[in-house]
Amino acid sequence: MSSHRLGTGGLVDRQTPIGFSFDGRPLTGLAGDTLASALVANGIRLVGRSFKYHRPRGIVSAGPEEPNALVEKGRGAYREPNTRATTVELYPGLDVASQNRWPSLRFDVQAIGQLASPLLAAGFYYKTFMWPAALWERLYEPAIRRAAGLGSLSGAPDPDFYEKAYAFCDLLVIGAGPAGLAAALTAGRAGARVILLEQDFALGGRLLAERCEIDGMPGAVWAREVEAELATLANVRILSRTAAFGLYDGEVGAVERLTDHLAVTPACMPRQRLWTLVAAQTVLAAGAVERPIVFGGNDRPGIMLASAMRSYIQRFAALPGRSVAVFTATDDGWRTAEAFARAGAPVAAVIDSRRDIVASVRALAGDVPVFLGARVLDAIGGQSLSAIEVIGDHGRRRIAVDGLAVSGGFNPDLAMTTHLGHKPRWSETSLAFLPDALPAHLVVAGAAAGRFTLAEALADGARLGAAAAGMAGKPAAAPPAWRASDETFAVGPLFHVEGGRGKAFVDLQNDVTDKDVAQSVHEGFVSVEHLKRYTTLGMATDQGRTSNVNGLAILARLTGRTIPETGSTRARPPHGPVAIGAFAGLHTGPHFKPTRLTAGHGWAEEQGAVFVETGQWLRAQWFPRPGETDWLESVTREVQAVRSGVGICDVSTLGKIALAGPDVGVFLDRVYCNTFSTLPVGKARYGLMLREDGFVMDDGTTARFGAEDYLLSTTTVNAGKVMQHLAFCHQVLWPELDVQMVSVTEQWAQFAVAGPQSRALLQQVFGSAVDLSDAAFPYLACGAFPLGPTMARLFRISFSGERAYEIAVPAGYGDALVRALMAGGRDLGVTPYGTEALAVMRIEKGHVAGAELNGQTVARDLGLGRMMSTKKDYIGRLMAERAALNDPDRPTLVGLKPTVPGVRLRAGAHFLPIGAAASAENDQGYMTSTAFSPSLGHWIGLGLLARGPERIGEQIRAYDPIRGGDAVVEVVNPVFIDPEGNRVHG
Amino acid sequence: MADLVHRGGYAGLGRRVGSGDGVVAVEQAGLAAATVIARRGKAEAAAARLGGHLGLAVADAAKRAVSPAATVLGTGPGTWLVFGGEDPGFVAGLAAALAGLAAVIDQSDGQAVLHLSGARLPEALEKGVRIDLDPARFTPEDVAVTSIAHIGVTLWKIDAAPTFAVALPRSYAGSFRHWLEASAGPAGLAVVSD
Repeated sequence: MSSHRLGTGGLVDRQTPIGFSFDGRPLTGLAGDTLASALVANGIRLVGRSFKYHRPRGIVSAGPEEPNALVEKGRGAYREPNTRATTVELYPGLDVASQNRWPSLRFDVQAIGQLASPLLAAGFYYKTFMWPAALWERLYEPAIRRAAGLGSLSGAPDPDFYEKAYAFCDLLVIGAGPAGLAAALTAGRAGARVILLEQDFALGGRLLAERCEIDGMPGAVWAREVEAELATLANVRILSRTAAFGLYDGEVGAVERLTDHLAVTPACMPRQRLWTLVAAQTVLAAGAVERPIVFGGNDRPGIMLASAMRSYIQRFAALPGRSVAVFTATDDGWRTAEAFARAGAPVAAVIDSRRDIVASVRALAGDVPVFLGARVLDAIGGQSLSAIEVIGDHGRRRIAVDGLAVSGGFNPDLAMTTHLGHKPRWSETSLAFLPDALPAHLVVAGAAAGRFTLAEALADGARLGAAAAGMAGKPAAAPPAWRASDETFAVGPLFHVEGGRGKAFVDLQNDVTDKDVAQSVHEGFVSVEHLKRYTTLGMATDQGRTSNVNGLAILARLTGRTIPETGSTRARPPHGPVAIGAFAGLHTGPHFKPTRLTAGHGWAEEQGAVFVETGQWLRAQWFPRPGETDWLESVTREVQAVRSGVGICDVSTLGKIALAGPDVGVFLDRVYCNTFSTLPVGKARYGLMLREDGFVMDDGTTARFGAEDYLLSTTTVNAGKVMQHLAFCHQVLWPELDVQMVSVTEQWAQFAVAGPQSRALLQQVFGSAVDLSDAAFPYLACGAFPLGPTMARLFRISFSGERAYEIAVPAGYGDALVRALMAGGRDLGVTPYGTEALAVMRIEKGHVAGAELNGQTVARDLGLGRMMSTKKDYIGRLMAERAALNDPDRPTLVGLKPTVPGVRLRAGAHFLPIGAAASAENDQGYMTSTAFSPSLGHWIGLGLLARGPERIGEQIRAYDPIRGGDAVVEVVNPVFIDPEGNRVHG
Repeated sequence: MADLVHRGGYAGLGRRVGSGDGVVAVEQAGLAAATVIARRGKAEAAAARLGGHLGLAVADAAKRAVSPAATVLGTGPGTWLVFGGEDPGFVAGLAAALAGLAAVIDQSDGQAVLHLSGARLPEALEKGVRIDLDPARFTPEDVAVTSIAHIGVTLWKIDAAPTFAVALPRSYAGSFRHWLEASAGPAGLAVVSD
């Protein structure tokens, strides 16, 4: 048996010992322990070093409010720093290490920082290291960074995975203490859909740690019976190990720990699950956190919240000290004296700052020395508490102790009520912030509402549970009236004991002392929000649960204000730490966004294609062949194959929108800058779409298959945006137009078939029944033709400048079609090509694409000014007339070629007059796209150059300081290949 | 003349077939499907004609109407996603019946459809569906246009078992499978596709 484990009592299983290790030392706990309770049971006091001064620290609490006992859990990539020992369930093989110490917990070199503590006061980093400034980056910042921070990350990717889930209910209950259990059971019995959250692994809250009775049975037994009944109700879901961390509009966020308590993680099991919970009504029954008292040396290991000591004794059967004193301003503190007496270790003294104590409370201490109207001035000791100095009517007295239970009052855990901007109010009777105005559909029960006794908690739960059920149309028969054991609740005002010699900590986690608060005030930071930021009070993992109110009270006294006048800081989610991975869920790495695959993807994979992400799509970028060592080699081959024979490219990813109805022509005239109402059936036309501000939004072809049957295409990347734009235009701007539209991108698999042999290949595939002669199917024709069991759509359009077609079939036939095209073209040397070859050929042909349609160009910039109709109105027409957009000095599309063959051009290079300095005032535009042209044998580029078209033949400088490029280039016509357009017409 | 073989949206994604103790997913390949959008001001007439043509009662609402031959899903004002069987003339028949009242646009190959069932289905759906699927709130008469794992889906309920159907753009089938395997895999998932 461990040194401080009690022989009887508690909710631990003495038949199930559990081996674990702390700083490499093997220890044994019991099933039902937390890491903290197992450490207490083993008599371990010193568990960590503090953030700033590296002072020795022990366990303070028994719950998620723990500011001190932060440990590193796990090894290697699984290491998680800043894990609160009070929330870690013990499991076999648990391996934890203390943090913030070097070389060891007992001997920590940086603890010498305590000697320099005058330099480390609040705001020290703003002041102490100001001079000489030159040392900041070289010395001060690295030194501070090395010393700062809580714990350390593994530096490795998170090996665990996470998932998300969504649930809906009539009543969400946060916290399964007496109020929460009462609410859940009342509503559950009435048939309402209930979700009950509990951050602990066991339900019951304080019932697990207190000696109390409900309906004649011990509180823990009652909790177990309620849990058993809830488990039988199909309409109730219990989520234990689940912490609510935020209240959002209409939703509560919570994180469920699924495997953190398991020695061996089952395969496929996520570590944590992030819940989004939507409830008609939420009952916050999160209880209250006991408040420490600020006095000299109040951080010594062995000083603990009084209620936490009761948890260790009565829930975990672990004795937090053999000679403990109680320092209290509440009735509740006296119950800890009783708990120690029952455990066979009577306390050394009870010190209460109040004088009037009711007899029943006074009796809890039995015959131990009691000091009323007294305070603990100082706690004495090094790595563990050895004595306290008490000041009172008797003067000063030193009492030898190894532990001190502290009770300064209770802070209702109402952070969730403030997440949407609501503020709590200060209660002078409860000496606590209590909920005031509340968010819609949220109510607060029990201790969280400042109703601290067991009877009040049960009554609140029953009342609010019944109300929620009633609102859900499931009236509760008769709310249960549970009979609870009597208890008193009283608290006196005691936040701070002045005059001690030792450092008096307000915030243990951030090492903020009473002097830091005073200094903050002295320097003018008297707003509570300024105090927080200047001193870091209330930040970090505990979010000030134990420190905020004491800090406020000291600030209030120093500034001569009341606590309500001082105000409180507003809590923001998350209420407790949540792993970033939980927010990502499954969406990490390649699954960050969904991936879209074309019907021909599997075929392209078989061909060894290299893929590129284009929006969510994966597109074949090039198809390397054996022996090719460089992407450029593959791309050059693909371009040459197209220009000399025939190639196939999957263009299924381009957006396709079907438009129908009698008014499509009018609609298209308004959304495109060029005219479409004149487009005949059986024809396709290139269109340019402007934004309302006159800039180019997207381009593509629209084909007309029937009187009221159009197909509009968009670029791959803008498909969603254009669909949204068209829907907006129709639904908001011109609802009077009789137009119907829907995306059919997914319906069709589409392939470009390009090159002088493209017609021969298609004729082979379609057979002789289809006439593809230039007379029957000229440039810009479109039509639908039978192809095997289906109908194919054929478009004679070209992006490469060659004779080219696009053939589309229902996507289910896409895989078969590309295989048929490859088989049919074998004798023609058909070659698959990817997006790189596609880009090379469009640059050779001077077609604009994403690099030029970049949201900053108008049609005129792209040499497309003549497309802008003067005979009709359209979106963007008026704004495109602005003078600045028609300034001849605007950079305008040109072609560029190096004056020295072999020089590589790079997109992004800026244009400068030759001889001019490389400065912003000489900048005349930039290179948008470049490619090695296999047809010309040298690099070419497209660019936007001020007064570009006037300057053809001129030489300019293309300057690329980022990649060290600096070349003289000649301004040329952007159409490098076949400027007459003979090839495309065949 | 090419002889083309048809493939469903889930084909070629690998046959990972598990126990099926928790969830069974069966691909519904080869169904005819069309988006039907009423002409301006003709939603009621189109609903009536659509219902008359298919022999069921169609509402202009997010509701499902079903007959042995067809399923009509309200997916927006005056808009329906209509599934038929494997009859290749189904969409043309719809278009003819609705001439002048609605646009009928073939989506037979655009949608990948799975039927999902199994004892652990509700908990798997809960990991992706952000709407309330409680049997009292979402019935076989209801249709939802929503998203799962950032993928836009049309979701409906076939029976109270419950069996759900999920239709989504076919290019997302692989990513949907990833979500399904992660969400239903631990419970035991079987996927049946060609």
